[in-house]
Amino acid sequence: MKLKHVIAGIMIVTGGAMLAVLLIGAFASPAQLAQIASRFTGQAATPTVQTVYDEDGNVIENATVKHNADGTNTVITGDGTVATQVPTSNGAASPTPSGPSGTTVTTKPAPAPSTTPRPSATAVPSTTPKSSQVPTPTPSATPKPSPSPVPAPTYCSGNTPCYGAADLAGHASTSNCWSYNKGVMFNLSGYASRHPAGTDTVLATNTCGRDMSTVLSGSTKVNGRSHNHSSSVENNGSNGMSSFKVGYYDSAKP
Amino acid sequence: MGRAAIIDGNMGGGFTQSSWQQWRTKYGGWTIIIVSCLLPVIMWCFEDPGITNRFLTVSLTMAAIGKVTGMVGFVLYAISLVLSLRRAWLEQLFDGLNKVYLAHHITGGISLVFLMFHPLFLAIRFITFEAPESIKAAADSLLPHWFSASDTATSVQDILALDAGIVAFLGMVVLLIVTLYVKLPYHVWLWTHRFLGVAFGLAAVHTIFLNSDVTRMPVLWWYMIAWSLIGMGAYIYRTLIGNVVIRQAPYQVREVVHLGGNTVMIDMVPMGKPIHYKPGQFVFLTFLVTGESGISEREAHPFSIASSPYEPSVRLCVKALGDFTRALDNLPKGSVAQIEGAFGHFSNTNFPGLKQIWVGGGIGVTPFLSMARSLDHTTAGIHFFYSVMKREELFDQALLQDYLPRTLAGQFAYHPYVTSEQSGFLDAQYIAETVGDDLGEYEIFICGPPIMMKTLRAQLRARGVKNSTIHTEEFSML
Repeated sequence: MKLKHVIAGIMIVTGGAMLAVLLIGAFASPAQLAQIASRFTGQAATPTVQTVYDEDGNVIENATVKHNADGTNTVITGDGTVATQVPTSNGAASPTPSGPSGTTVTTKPAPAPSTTPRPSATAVPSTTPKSSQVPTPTPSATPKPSPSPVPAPTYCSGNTPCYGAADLAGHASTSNCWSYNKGVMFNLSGYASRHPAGTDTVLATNTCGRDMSTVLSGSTKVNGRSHNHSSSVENNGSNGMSSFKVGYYDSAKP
Repeated sequence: MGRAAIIDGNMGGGFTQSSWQQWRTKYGGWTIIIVSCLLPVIMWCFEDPGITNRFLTVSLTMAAIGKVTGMVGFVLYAISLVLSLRRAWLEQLFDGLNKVYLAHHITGGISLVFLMFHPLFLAIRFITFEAPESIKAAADSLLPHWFSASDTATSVQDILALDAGIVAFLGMVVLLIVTLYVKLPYHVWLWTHRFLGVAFGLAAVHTIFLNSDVTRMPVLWWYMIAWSLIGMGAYIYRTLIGNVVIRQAPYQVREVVHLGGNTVMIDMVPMGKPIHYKPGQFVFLTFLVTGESGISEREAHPFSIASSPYEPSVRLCVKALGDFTRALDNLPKGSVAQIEGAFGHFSNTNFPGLKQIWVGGGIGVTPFLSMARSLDHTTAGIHFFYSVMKREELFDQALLQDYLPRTLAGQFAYHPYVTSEQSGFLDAQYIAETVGDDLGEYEIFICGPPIMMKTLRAQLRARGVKNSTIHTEEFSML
């Protein structure tokens, strides 16, 4: 085989891959992208650990909620049974029961990741699901008096994983640098080497463990210089830092 | 002054290559290429955050591959421009200009491959399955950007450098597709090929001015600046100002002889200082004034010399194979041409005192005619196989069949091989049986159609002949 044939093959493969990225990036909707991703990950949708309440306000433990592409949520109990479906409310919780079966979906902070945090947490399967807490299709003839609901405290507007000030303080050094912008937390240690202005600009002491929104807007100088960024960067749009998002930040969270 | 003395004094013949010279001509050029490509990668490995931190995640690994392919691809691009220079020092590093051009093709092709990987890997590093929308960031990185009012000087510089890289990439891809896969008339091809230097200039802007790992490490930055300057310098010297600064000797056509088999012999006399050459070398010929012949002017074409260096004129044998060579059939006397050269390491004078086998196929006989005319009584012993399809295609028979066997009795054996009168093509077995000796004792020179050279080399190697003793002139590369 001649060199030019090998080159032609590589050009077709690499050129085709770039074209695919451009076309998918330009025309695919978020729902379609989720479907494409699911083909690679083998999951129909991204499972998230959330606290689910039944119509009486009782917590359904070990339930998993999947956000479907059609905008609904599928609630799965710990033993894998599909209990009900409710319309999604932007992934956020409602303090009062809602939906056709009265099920409420409320997010619960996931445990802090150890070394390489991911934006989504995984479901923890239950070994002994509490059947009494799983809503059944057969309504009770004589509903028991419902206790008053105890809404779990909600942080990060229900987005997970959610980190608080204590979490942030653990990543305040240049060697282990997290920072947040408008409620979104990033691992800057992973991102730093990609920043066009250099590693030192990103891993600055006035960025790590702090709010970087004023740095991104240019009003706070880093290493003596102010750096303006595009509105996409300032507002957490798609940019080079996106893949280093580790979760969300809420200063109220203990 | 004897003829042998002229060989030694005029053409550097009659020397024995030292082991260092042999190593340099065999491996020198490629060693320099490989080291030049590895150096930026080694520097980059030592740059903060260090090699171990560059492959921590899939995303970082993709970024690392994208950066390395970008740096190596750029250096190879610069080297391929340098290899387009027709300079004697390059011949010393690659064993002849034909191998320099071969290296030019290979480095250019590999550079294209690396520079295809560069944007692809830098784009797909953004993609994570956990955040499928990240593909939009990947797509965004492949597209050119415009300025906005909020852009600072730094970001304007980055945007310009990124866009220059994208334009350079697209230009290089289009031009190399044209070069490799589209059959164009030579002059059109040459015209398109010149724009590869412009694409390189844009790639240099991208490399030097984009804030990146390269600009963060001064040593690496200066290294890439050096290759930018070398590449641009080579392009400017060869393509833009080559007609002015490169020495070319003016010659005038004295005679055009039709030899049969679509072949003409052009006899030219120097109008000023003549060129110096070794038997078997070739020159680049550019016609300046050809009257109404329709021959393309200002186009350099390579041709082997058929004459001996001791003759006052230079004779070239040309077979009508392309548009240009076909037009030479109408070349009028008095036409003026410039000759650049001579080039090539395909010469019997590089192996004095050693027994030799010469195999010429068709028009590939030309360098052997030059060598044959330069032979003297110091010749160690030569078997000359001259292969053609039909008997009428054999020429210079008076020299080969009568004069040389008679004057160099016992030292020059001539073996014409007419394929149409034989049962097949000339092969190694026929050569071995005719010579009757161990072929391993000979330096073997082959010049002819590429398939003939490739087949004979394989057959000879199968008979135990060392590859280093087989010398070919790759006309197809010129």
